[in-house]
Amino acid sequence: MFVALGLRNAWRNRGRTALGIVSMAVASVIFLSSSTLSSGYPAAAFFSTRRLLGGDVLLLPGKSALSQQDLATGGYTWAFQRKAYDSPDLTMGLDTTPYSYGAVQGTPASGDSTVSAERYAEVLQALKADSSVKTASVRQSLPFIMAKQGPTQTVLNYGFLDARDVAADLTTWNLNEVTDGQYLSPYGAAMAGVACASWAGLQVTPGGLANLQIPRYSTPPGGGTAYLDYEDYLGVSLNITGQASFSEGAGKEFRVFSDPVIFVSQSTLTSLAKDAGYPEQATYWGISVTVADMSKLENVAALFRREFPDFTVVAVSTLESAAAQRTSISAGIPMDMRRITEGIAFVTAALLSATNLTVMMLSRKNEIGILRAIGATGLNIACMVLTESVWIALLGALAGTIITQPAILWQLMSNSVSSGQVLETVGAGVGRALAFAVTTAVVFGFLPVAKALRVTPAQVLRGD
Amino acid sequence: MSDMMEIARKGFKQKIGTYLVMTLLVAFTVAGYLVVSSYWKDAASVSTAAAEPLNFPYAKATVLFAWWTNPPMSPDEEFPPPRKYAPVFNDAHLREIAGIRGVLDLTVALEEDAFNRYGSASLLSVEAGAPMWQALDLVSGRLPENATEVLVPDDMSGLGAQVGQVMAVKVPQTIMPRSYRKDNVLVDPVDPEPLKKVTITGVYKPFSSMVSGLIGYLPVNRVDDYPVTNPGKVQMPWPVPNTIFLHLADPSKAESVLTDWRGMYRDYPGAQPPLVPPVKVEWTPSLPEALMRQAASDVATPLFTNTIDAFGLGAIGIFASMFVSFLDRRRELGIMKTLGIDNSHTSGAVSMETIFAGVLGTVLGAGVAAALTGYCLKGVSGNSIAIPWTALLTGTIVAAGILLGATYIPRAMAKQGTVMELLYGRPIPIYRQRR
Repeated sequence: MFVALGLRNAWRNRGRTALGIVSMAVASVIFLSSSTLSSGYPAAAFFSTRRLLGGDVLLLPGKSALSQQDLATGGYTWAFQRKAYDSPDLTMGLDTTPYSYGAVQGTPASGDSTVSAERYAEVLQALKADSSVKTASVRQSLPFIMAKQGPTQTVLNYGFLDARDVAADLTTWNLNEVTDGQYLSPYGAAMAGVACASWAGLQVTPGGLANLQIPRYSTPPGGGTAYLDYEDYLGVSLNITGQASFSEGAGKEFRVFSDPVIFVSQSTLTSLAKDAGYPEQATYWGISVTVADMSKLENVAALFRREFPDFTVVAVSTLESAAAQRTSISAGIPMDMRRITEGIAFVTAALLSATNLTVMMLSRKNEIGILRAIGATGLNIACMVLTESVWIALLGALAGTIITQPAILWQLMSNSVSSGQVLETVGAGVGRALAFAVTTAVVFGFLPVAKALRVTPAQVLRGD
Repeated sequence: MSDMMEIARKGFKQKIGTYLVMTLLVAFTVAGYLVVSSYWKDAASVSTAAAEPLNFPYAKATVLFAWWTNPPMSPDEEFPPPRKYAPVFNDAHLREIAGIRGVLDLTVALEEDAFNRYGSASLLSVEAGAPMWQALDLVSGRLPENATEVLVPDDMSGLGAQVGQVMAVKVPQTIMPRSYRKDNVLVDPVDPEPLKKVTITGVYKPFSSMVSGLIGYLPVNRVDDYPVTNPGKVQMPWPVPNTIFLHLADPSKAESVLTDWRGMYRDYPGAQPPLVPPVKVEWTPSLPEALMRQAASDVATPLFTNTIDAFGLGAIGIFASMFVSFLDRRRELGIMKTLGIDNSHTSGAVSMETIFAGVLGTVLGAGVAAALTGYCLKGVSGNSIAIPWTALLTGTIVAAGILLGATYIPRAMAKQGTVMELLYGRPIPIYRQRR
């Protein structure tokens, strides 16, 4: 009976009930967005950038960006380094306020920040064994200088040959669609390349030849640090079969690489590297990963950051945001922070709801006093108040769930997630939201209950 | 006042539960803010301390060779002076720049990206007679005396570079990032000799990573004026310098020196187009520390967002408890007004109680934070964390602001409520228009 009375009271005070429902709905939206939507993205998100990079997450050797873990554990010295052109670095040159032609790079206490070939192999193996990873590969490049005859003089431009997984480029990234001319072919001619339209200095008409000077890999006679000899170079004529363009949004030309690139096949790069005397690991510039499920991209990247501290892990979302907004790469929002936000959102909503109910209890002193006078116990009154509190919380959580479900479903289903997994994710999210809402409503509901139980029949009869 | 204090004291004692909750909420938010703020300041200081200093007592800037000077246009002027470009590399203007307070001397240079047989390294051609030549630590050989001679750093010497050796240097076109605030009207000067043959005349030991590549010779090149008003035709004969080094008396004041420099190119009211200062990219001696501080701030920002959320939560809690307390004692306030206590004193009594709770909460919060940071928590540095006084001041101000904001409605209602409204539970407006 007192449960029914609680529900009736909620209906009678529709205005205050609506306020409580709205605050709980907002908390549920925040919770579900934080726990599901912010974990990743729909399948087509950042497609142009991913297509340009050939992956969803990049693991760059060394420390290019400060992370929370770096601050917590320390052990690195950070030195400002000018831009170097011997190996590509996507992150250098993205810091644009001001454009600093360099960035801070972290060196561990041991003094050696290079990642060995064995470590690359170890990380690659671990990535391939991870169920959240669809494909992973070590990325390789070779620097070059291209000489072009201008109207009055020879013009030199620098760039990098970037080895691509041609099969993935054609099937996953559909690079044929954005290539003027012909994209690379798995069975095509060896010395073929595809230029990128964003780099004015590397404009070669499809069908034309790019005359490249690839520096030879050299070591000093007595041993020591190797260097690239741009004087004794390997001359190569690359047949440019096409020019790929990458645009984002309203046709805006987009580039993520801060260094100019020409795409070549793996076999072409391997052959050129061998001819120019490069050991294989000297061509490595990072590892690119394609995730199995874009809806979990941020979680996957966060896990990689913890698992591989000797790499700088950059998700495509961070890279695109840095390039588009002209800011430096940040380390990403730690996953723990989202839990705190979720908790605070629900506690705030519950506190608002409890305040609401407390005010209502004060205005219903007479009613409560009369109920006590006719024999209602404290438990009965508590039951009535808590019913109202829980009912408001349930309705609010349901409303919040309904609002966020379309976005969540779109994110999951666009990633071709199985229906079982969709049901599991949605069910778990809704269940957690409802459980949180009810729990906070019960806990904070004791505030108005305490207020209601202080009312005595004598007080009401006296008119206090 | 003393009556008000007495009423407030008794009210505080009577509603000790409510004010205890409020005190704890204030203490919670203040302590949370102080702990988080101090932790991240410690982390930021560690990150800054972990930055390797540049050891470069210069402010370096990439500059264009001309700047758009748009004299003020008075509406009375029948024939206003023509808009045109003024040369940067002009003795008078360079003297103006060198005369900025805090600048010891000025060096003009041309910096280009270059590739040679020992890898990629910048080619910094320093003007003849420039003060920077004296700062170089020459290990062997002599300084360059013409444009075909260079110095190499000692690590290149370790790879096999020798004095007297001739090597090829390739200078590609520089790729500008799209964010580079470029004057699109000026024609970019291009090195007419991208393929150079240079002779190594000496080896130097770099004193900073900022000057650690090939160092060449730049003949002095000055322009008196650009009489041509068509910007597309404004050109400087090669070699066109692109870098200015300002030797600083106090490297820590680099930012103010650069601000004074940029301030020389004022945007006059009504100028069209807006003036484009020639200074494009700047490096200051504290650049690594500044970058690390920014990076630490980027990492800390989500944490501070949650701290602000917690403040919001505290504010809601304070509002809730204060509002409920007000509703509970409406009759008491109504009786006070019946006895003749005026509105200000009535709301003043409520305010005093809030101030008691607020001060108590702030002191408690600061004490808890000090205990936590002093005895329980260790910073990233491994030491106890010190609470900076600025954080304490900010926390106190924010707590006061929250209390004021959160208790505004109850105080306003205590002040505005008439005797009848307070005694009989009628609705009370927050604001009442007085006739």
